[in-house]
Amino acid sequence: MAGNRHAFEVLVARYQKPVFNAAYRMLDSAEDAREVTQTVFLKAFEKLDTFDPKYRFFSWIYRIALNESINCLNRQKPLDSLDREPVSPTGGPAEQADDDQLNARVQAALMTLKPEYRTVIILKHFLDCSYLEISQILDIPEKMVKSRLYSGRQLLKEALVSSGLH
Amino acid sequence: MAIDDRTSDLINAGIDGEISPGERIELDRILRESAAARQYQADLTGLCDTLDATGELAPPPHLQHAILGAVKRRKRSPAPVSAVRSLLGLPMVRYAGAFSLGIILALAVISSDRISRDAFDDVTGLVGTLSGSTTESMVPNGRMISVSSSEIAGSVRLRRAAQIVVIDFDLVSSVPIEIVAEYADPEFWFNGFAQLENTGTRVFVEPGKVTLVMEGKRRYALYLHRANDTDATVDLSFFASGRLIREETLHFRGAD
Repeated sequence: MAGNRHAFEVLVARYQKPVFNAAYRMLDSAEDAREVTQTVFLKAFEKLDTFDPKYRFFSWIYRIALNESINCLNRQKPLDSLDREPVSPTGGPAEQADDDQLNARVQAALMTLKPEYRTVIILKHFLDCSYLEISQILDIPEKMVKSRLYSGRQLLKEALVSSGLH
Repeated sequence: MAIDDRTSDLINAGIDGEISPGERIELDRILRESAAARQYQADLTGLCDTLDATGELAPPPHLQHAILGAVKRRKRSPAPVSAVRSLLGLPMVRYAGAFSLGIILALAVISSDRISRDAFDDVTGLVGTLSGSTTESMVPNGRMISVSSSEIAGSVRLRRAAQIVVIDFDLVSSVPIEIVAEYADPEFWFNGFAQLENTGTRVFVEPGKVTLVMEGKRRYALYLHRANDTDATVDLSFFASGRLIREETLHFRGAD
């Protein structure tokens, strides 16, 4: 597969959206998400020979995406958090304003969570992964997935209540 | 409301569909018997519905193109620059060399009938390499704008390589688009232009203004010389069929 350009193009077409979404939800920056997404696929291309087919491809690439996002978070300076470009969900103009407000509040609440909680929330609610898949992606026991997910939800709910959304 | 951890875990797992038949029976019994548990489940369901309603975000329209382009570039060997770098070892000579080479390479790209991605990357990369900095400094505010409309989509990024300011255009348009980049500060002047595709573009340069006319998927680099580090702006106007569709400003911050 390493030399198969067409196959790689298919993978990019299929996974660029969820990878971008995962990165954006982690980083709260469309530009950073774009750069991370590009890095993720570059790394995936370079490491295709090391991909173990006993795992599903999306598990592998989501892990790269979240690791790269966390690396990006660790490199960021505190002031960078002020420089954010809002990203709107897909939808018609009539829905745009409501979607933007909801997206902004949910994203702000997400950013109050520590990365270990945020990653699980993103994998469950934005990438629709099961507990087992999350466990494989993050290489943590399923019991820890549940613990972080349930606690993360509680923290998220408190943040949304504070913002007036719930 | 006070519910125990076991109840909380069952309710969470039940909502996620990750519950065994035996646990389902236990959960149903708890929900029948406990108003607090029912309230907790309702609240948690509301939260999950809110998250599900948030929706997927659309990546930039040109992202796939950028990813595949980056993969192609990674497969190629980098052009050797060490010999050139050694010839331009002195800072003053390095700057003069960068300035001259930027013009020469940019003009060579424009005049060539075969404009390749290599040439585009070599020019933009070479400017950074020879200008005395090993990394380009990014200007925080306004360093990139994203454009998304029915006529045009993509990004315009401003970055600096020592005393050369590079404005990268990465755009896709469905109709002919005229882009006007204006810089009123006399300390900015035109230093060169590079393009990836060799057709469908016209460039007009006059003091304080560069006009691009494009259609389709295009990548460009506009080079401006910047003599000092004072703050300045580059105003961008996008026109479709003579109608102004977008205005943006890129900020150059000399301190960054």
